[in-house]
Order: sequence, then C-alpha cells, then structure tokens
Amino acid sequence: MTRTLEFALRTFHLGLLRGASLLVPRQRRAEWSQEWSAELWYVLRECSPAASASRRPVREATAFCLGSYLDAFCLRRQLWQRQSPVAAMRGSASLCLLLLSVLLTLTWCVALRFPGVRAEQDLSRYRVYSELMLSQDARYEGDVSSISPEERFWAWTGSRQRFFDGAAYYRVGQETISVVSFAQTGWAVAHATPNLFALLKLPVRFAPPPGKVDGEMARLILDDEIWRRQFGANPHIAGTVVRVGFREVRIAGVAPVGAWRLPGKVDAWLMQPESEQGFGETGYVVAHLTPWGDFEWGPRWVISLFAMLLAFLSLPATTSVSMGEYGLSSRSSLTNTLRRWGFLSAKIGLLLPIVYLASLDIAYSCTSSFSPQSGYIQFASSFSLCLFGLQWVFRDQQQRCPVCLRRVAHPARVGQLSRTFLAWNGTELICVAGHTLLHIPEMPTSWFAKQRWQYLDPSWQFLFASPDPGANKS
Amino acid sequence: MATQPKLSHTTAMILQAIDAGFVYGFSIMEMTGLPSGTVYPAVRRLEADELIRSRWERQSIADREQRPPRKYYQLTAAGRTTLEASRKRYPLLKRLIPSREMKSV
Repeated sequence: MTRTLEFALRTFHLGLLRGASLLVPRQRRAEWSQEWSAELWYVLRECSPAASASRRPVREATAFCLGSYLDAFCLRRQLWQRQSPVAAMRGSASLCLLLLSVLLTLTWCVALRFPGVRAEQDLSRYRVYSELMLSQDARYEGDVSSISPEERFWAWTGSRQRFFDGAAYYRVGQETISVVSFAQTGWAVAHATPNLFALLKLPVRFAPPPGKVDGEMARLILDDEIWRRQFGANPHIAGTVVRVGFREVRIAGVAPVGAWRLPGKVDAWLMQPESEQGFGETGYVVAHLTPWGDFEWGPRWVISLFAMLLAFLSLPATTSVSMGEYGLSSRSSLTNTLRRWGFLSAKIGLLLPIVYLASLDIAYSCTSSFSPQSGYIQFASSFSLCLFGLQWVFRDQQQRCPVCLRRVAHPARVGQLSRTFLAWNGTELICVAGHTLLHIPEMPTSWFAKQRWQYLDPSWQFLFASPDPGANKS
Repeated sequence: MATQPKLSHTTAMILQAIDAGFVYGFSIMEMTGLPSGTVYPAVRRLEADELIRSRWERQSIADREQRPPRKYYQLTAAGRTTLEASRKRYPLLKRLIPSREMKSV
C-alpha cells in the first residue's frame, strides 16, 4: 500500500469519525473524539501490517469507524433521556394529553388552510340562513377555470334543479343619485334581480300594495340609514321618483335595520329584470336550497356529531370497554378514581374536536367547495376516525396504572397455552413506579375472563428503582 | 433500594472481559468478537449505570511508548456484584472469557 493511499484512507476514516462526532452532545464531543481517534490508531496498527495486499484491513477499519455512529447515537439518547422533560414524561398521562392537544392544534391549522372550511366558519358572509347558499364569482378569487356569475345564475334558474328552488343575482356599484330635495350624491347601489328580497325573506317597510305598483319604472329600495339621513325618515317616501345615473326609478320601500347581511355595504337596491342586468364579474348569486335536496345535511358539526354518536353505539361491538375492575378495589381511593375518570373524559373531550376537524380536513381535501359529496365524505371519515379513536382511548386507559396513570410496561408471558385450564396463562405488565401489576388472560375463561389489576403493597418497593427512564437500561 | 440491573448476555460478556483484564475498547472488541457499534454503546450504558468507571492513561506513559493515550475501564463495587449475579445466570461466561490469572494457570 503506497503512502499516498495510506494517507487517503486515514483521512477517510478520520472523516467518518469527525462526521459521527457531530452527533455527540457538544460537552462530550472532545473526549469522545479523542477516545475514538486513539482507538482507530490501534485498529490501524493491528490491521495494516498483517495483510497489506488485501482489502480486509481497510474494511475492518471502516466497519470500526461506522460503529462510532451507533455510539454517538447512544450518547445523544442518554443525554436526551437525562435532560428532556419529555423523556421523563414518557408514558405519563400529561404527555398523552399534550400529544392530543398538539394533534388538535395541527388539525385546526390544516382545516384553516382549506377555503371551504373558512367559508363554513364565516357564516355571516356565506350562509345567511341555513337554507341559503351564496356564490361569488370564482374569477374574483383567482380561479380562471370557473364559470361567471351570469352563467351560474342562468344555469341555476334555467334548468331543473335538485338542490335549489330559486336563485337571485346582485352586484354592488357606485351610482350618482339625483333627487329634487338634495343635490347629486354618490351611493353604493346593488343592482339586483327583482326576486332578491323575496328569496331572502326580507320585509320591505312602506311598500305600496301590489295593485298600486307602477310596472313601468324600476323599483328602488332604500337602506334604513340612507332613508333617515337623506329623506329625514319620511314615512311617505314610497312612490318618490329619483334618478339613478341617467335612469328614473321609483322608491318602493325601506329595508329594516340590520336586515342585510350579505357581502357588500349597500345604500339602496335597484330591482331590475334579468334582461336588464349587466352581469359583472364581481357579482353574487344567491340560491335557496330545496328542503329535500342533498344539502339537507345541516351544519357541518351536526354531520360529525351524528357519526360520532353512531361510533359510540358501535364501540362495544368492536372492542372491550371494560376497565378491568378499575374501581372495585379497596386500594382505590376516591381521588384516584376521580383522576382516572377525569383523564378518560379529557381524552374523549380532546378526541371529539380532533375527529370533527380531521373529518373536515379530509372532506375538503377531496372536494374544493361545499358539495353533497363533501358531506358524505365527512360523515364516513367522522365515523371511522371516531370509532378507531375511541378504541385507542379505551385500550390506552385499560393499560394505565390506576394509581399514577402511567402506562404499564415490561410485558412478560406467563404460563402455557396447554395448561390454560389448570394454571394461569397470559401476559403480565407492571407499573414502572411499582404501584400495580396487570394480568391479561391469553384466553378468557369462566374464572378469568377480563384483565385484573393487582395492587402492590409497600413491601414490593425494594424491587423498584425510581421511575427514571434512564435507569436499568443495560 | 434499587434492584440490581439484569444484564443481557452481550453486556455481561463485556463486563466479564473488563474484569478479565481487557480494559480498553479495542481489546474488548478483540476478546469478545463483538463489533465496535455494540461494544462502545454498551460500555457507555455500563458507565451510566455506574457498573464501570473510566480513566485516561497518563500522557507521559503514552508519549514514552509513542502512541496515543488510552481510555481504561474498570469495574466498580456495584459492577462486581452485578457480574457475580450474571455469572450465576450465564454459567458459561467464565469459560468464554477466563480471567488473566486463570489463563496463566
């Protein structure tokens, strides 16, 4: 082996050790590197003279250096277990609740990323009443593939619908208003189809009886604030002619205070037939949902709640909900019993919103907006997630020490299957703090059907070290 | 009172090797035939459990022999007790790695 090759190999091996040293905690890195470098020196001395022509010494030295990575990981794990509060909390009830809270936050954050979910939350903007649906032009939101409000309006009104029994359109624009009593002024006027107020079921004050309506002129409905400010709250305002832009219109009434909750600040509504509507890109189509349509799912949380109820009912058929004589022992104090049930309730309490938000995430990741399909997907995912989640909650609870609520550990198989009817056969788990022993039968029998807890009295304590996870690891 | 840690066969073998006089990493590897990725992490855990302690060789000794200083390991009292218990559990341990005194006999 030439000196150059020897130098290159030595550099390579030292490079491997250098890489591993980066994994070692900083405070122990210098000593660790010194030990491994020294050991490598001995390895190379032992390997190189014996077989200079063979590749075996190089392989051995490389294998030796690669072992340093395992050592580095080991040191890092040891330090983590000693310092990290999470390591000390391993298996504890607090850690379980913390993880569930993190999961809840995560599902909430994911849910907020979907526009459909945001729209669900913003009831005042998108769904005024449970029977109404509002559609804004998607091009306004930057989606070039969608249809315009005009196309949507004609599609919803012109064809037989399963979901809607009526649709109206409006768009808000600035218009110049001229009235005899005051000079020209600018108002925000909503150009709407005549059925808008009827669709929204909004009352119109001071409206003339249907027989006295002038069919020739377009109707204008005033906002309450404008009516008070510009017309001095005149109760005989109906029938007054005003000029909107270049067109004369007749005031047909006043909208009640706070009745308008759809997007856009509006001073007056100009009712024009569909043929006279200048459909704009920023208009809105409002549709009334049929009571028997597929949108009859109701609010989103009702879908999930119903699915969760079904999951609760299905739970006993899919998993054991027995706590294994949890509350029957004389050693079980009232405080411990309350803590156990409180912990179980907290887990379920965190699980339900997680299921709801996760089902929303799934539903809206499959469909882009409010649709019947998303309702079906949300129902199915709520049911599945809730069922599996509840199974986990109960299984986790069954394996938590009734005293300290830590998960029992160190499973040990005891007995033989062939001797099931003569002796104990099953698995034993122990609380790391030495409070309890859990017996789980391998095969339920008439004398040992469910898991049992055995409370260990203080005479057992000499067997247990402190529940420090770093202890007794060898 | 803490219970005596129960050692795996591999860890017990390493403890026995140290007791037998193979007191630094590479010599333990040579004696037991175990790879470095097993020996050194096991040694760290034994040290963390206070079954062994380590000390560096004096620099002057290493300089005299023109080699880098070694890190030596030796059993603590607790390590000796644990090794005794492990020998009962693994009776072949002593035969696999005889101590240096026994070897010389």
